Amino acid sequence: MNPSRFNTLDAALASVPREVQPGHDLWPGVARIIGHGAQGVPQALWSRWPLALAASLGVLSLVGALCWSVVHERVTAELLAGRAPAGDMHSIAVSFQRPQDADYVAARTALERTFNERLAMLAPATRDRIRADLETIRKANADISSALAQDPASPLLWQLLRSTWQQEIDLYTTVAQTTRTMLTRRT
Amino acid sequence: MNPETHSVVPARLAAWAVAAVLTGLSLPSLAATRGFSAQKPADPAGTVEIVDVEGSIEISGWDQATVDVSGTIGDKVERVDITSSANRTTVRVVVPSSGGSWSGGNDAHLKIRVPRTSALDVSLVSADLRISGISGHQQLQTVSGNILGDAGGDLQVNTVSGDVHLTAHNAHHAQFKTVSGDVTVSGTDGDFTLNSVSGDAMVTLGDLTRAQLQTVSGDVSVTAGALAGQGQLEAESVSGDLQVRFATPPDADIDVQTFSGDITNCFGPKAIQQQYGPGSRLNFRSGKGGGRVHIDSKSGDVGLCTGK
Repeated sequence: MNPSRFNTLDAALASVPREVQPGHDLWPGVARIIGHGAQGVPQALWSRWPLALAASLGVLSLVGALCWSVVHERVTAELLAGRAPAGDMHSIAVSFQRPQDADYVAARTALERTFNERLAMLAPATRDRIRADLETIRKANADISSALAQDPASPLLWQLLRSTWQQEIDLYTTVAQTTRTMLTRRT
Repeated sequence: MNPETHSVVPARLAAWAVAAVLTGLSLPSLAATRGFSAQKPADPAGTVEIVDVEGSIEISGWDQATVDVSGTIGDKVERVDITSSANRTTVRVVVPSSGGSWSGGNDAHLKIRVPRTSALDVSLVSADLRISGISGHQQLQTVSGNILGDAGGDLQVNTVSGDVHLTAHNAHHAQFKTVSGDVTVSGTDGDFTLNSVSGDAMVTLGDLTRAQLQTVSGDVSVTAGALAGQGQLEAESVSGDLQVRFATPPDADIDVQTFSGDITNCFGPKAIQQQYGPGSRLNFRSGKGGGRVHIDSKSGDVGLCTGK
């Protein structure tokens, strides 16, 4: 930022009056309301209290969500940058790797096993091409992970990283599906 | 003896020897294939499913309510099943398991004629696919086989390393996914999606309502007609170049950014370098706005242009 712009802003702020007097005496009105207590509050205001309560709750929820997202984002960024909090080293690996929850890992392992079995049934040239494709996907994944380490807040890189995980699964699925017929035995 | 004859005789002998060897080599392979031909009635508005592992499949549309299959199959191919259930006809090249290892002779080279208005659902491994004259929805999937031809209906194409060269005639929804195969497609409009890892794509589209392009390292070039009033084009790349060309300047809010690539724009303002940190950005309203063009690249170059 240009320092001269700060100076100009400071000068403009200095010229603003410190106090502004109201156009008329406000105290009689304030005293009247205090004197009448709650009954002095117009009925219209009372009728709006559920709305105000809902608005307050909404604001609270929003603030909570924002706090959570900011904290979560910071933790994610720290994890991605390799600055994870002490005692949370496992999370570092998780954040750079594909999803690690048990169901996903089990399904993926089973799919990978099927893929390797079916791959062995294919012609050597086809097998080589598919292995090269798998290598292409894994290299893309590694490149994106490297880029993420430099720019952990990039939504584009996160999206493409997820996309390469999906493409690897798609490759396994495609090979498994299209070779189902090869499991038929002569009867 | 004539010296010329002297040199011709050994040459002829050598030629005969080569021919004999080649014939000997080719005889087993000729003997290893056999002809196949079959027909089955099919619902003209139904779906034809085709499953094959190796070889080549050529599918064409015709004006009969019949699926007609003919060609040759390898000696290891057990049979070709043609089955029907409800409005679905399935052609399946059945290859028996060989103890979990490849044994060869699994290829089938088939020409399949299907009712012109059929939908297609094709799954191939390393067989090439050629299609023509079919107007139904087409779901085409290969691992390493190439896909060629012209398609009439909406398209859903998925290859791993097979190349795709398709001309579409009436596809308003088209989706292409590839790992390393190159994609050349023309003629689709409406809703278009492309997802590539390292395959290059050259796409010529009609008027767009929505396009979503995603590549890791493949280069993508898109030429489109007009962008619909609320139309959207989104393109994302890590290191692949993205080139987008509209026939006329779109009425759209345009936002292009790249981290280390270059941005070129042949209409509207020039891209500006980010004031803080690397990268450059191009952000402007073209025409009346309303549509949206968003292009985001990490290190690939981005080009935006108009004109045919």
